[in-house]
Amino acid sequence: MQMFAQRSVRRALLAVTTLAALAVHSAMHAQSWPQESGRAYIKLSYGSSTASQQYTFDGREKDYADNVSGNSFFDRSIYAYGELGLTNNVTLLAGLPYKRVIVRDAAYRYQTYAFGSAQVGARIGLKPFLGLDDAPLDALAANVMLTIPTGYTRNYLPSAGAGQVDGELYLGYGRSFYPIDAYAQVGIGYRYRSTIYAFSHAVPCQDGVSKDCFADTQPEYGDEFTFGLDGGYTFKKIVFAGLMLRGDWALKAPTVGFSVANPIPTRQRFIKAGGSIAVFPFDGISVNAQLLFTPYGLNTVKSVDLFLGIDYRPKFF
Amino acid sequence: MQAYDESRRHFLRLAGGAVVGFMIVQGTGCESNSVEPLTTGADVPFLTPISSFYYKNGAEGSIARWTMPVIDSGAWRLTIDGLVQTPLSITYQDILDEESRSAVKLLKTMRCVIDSNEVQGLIGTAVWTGVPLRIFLDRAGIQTAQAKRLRFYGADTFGNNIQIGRIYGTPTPDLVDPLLVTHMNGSPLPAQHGFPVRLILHEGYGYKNVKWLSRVEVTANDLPFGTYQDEGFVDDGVMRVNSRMTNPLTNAQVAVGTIKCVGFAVSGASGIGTVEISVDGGPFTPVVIRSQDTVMSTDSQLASTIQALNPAQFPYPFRGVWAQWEFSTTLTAGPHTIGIRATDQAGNVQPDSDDDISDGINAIPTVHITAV
Repeated sequence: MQMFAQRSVRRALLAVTTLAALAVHSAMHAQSWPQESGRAYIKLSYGSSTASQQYTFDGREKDYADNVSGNSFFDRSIYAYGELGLTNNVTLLAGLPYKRVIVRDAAYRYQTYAFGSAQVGARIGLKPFLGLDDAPLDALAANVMLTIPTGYTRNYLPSAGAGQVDGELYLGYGRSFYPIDAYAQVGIGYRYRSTIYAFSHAVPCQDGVSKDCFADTQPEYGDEFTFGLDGGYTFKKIVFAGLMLRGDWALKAPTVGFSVANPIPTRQRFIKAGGSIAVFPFDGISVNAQLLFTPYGLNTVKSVDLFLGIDYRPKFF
Repeated sequence: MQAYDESRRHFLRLAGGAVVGFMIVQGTGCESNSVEPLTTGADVPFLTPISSFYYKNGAEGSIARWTMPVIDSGAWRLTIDGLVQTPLSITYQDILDEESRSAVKLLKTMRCVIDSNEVQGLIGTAVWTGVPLRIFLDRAGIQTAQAKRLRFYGADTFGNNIQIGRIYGTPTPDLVDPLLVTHMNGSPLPAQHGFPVRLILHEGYGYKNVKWLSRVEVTANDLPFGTYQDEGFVDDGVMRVNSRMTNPLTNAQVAVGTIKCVGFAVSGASGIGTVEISVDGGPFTPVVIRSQDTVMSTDSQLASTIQALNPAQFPYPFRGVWAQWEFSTTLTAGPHTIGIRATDQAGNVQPDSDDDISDGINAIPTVHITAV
């Protein structure tokens, strides 16, 4: 009877890790549960971000591009993301986006398709180090991630990524409400934005002639706090619904605006809020959607973000 | 246990291979970039309709928590103070009353200093109706012995200045005195263009034409002053000679054979002298500047402008107003470049290169097109 109860709790926790991963399209926010050893989580998603407005560096809302009414920022990217539990406390994380970014101003439409910056890292369960193994419904993990530019051109208009390496440490605490099929988690992190180019490169750009690029002067990206809060509930083990809030907060407030043709601010602050829904047509597979709004921002695109994904949880070893 | 380790190693090898594969794919051409003009270009109308007239609120990027002033014309006041004998508080009706007696309709191209080969479209031409600021300065009584500059302030705190000599110095025949303007293309100024009253400086970039004007301060301080000057832009704000091709635009595809290129050139220092074109790096060749009769016949409002009414004082092409040009050339299949160079009547020539955005100078633009 005791073994049965333990198995039930383990199954419930396995479900929680799935649900918690479903709630966000990136691993970097509020991820508190390491995968069990040998278990993988693989997700392929399509993201559609659209904006007609931006938040200026001092927080006002204005048209995304001067003298352009209607939508003028479009990000139509594909995200591959995976996790693998090496042990019950160490999970490898990796992600790679294929960025498709289109922006327009009054005269031109700028478009770049390229693999963006890859994410690699690890999630380390902290409970064993803190003697919390007897709290099966709680989860606590540190996520260490590197964001590494692949070989894209960092001075294209627009660029597929920031062109420089970021490092992030993110702490997540989660709680399962078993036997209710629900969870909640919260997290906070620090993103160090380096000046290492990694594999990104630049093309020669002739001032006044080239329209597809900008002068390759190294931007000074500002370090950021990151934070997230999400939770969800599964109805009759068929449909999951969740709410989420996440944000980036540059330590130093932005003082200059970003380029419409290359919307990668050196400093920005934003909060995104929204919801997610998923259905489980087959065991271990879910089809899911997330919708996020940007209710607050400084120096950032005021986008509406829709992610459609499918994920799978195989056991490799 | 051994099987467990083997399967894990196998998985990691696969994962590592996948990452390397992505890098290789990236390096072998999975990246694409394109910049397409939203049209092949346009023959821009000589008089720009208000509905498509650009507006750039210069203070947005410079003044924290900036919001566009929304002003009740009945409550609006323009203060003239500083080195004056009698400080004034002028109402909107005072301006309209003066307009009924001595309105000036000035044809002027408004060009943002940021408008450039890289950031295009921040330019347009309108008929601005107003009265000379000097009328009110004379009423206030300028202490000309001490006064060096006029400082202008918008209701949004945006600031700028001119030297006192611009009004009280030796007159330049083809340069109209600074105006207090209430109308644009015959309609009251829209809010985004400075309702109820903005300053219009005939030769100046947009930032010299302070919107939502609320105060004129006469000062003995002869130092540069202004919101844009604080950002490093040139103090005098005289529009530097500039040219642009508006059809076709860079990256446009055109039909093989003879194509017609059109564009404009403008200078605040004088009228445009010549516009020259270089095709595929060849020698610069003068192009045709559209005649005064051609452009002035495009809109009935133009006949009542000060330039049209006083042809001897304002020779064509007009100072501070874009001159439209056109040129035909025959292209074979393939990529081509077209360079445009303008020279104004004061002898200012567009340079081959210029990297300083704050000086307002734009290098010779080169348009890349493909004939197919």
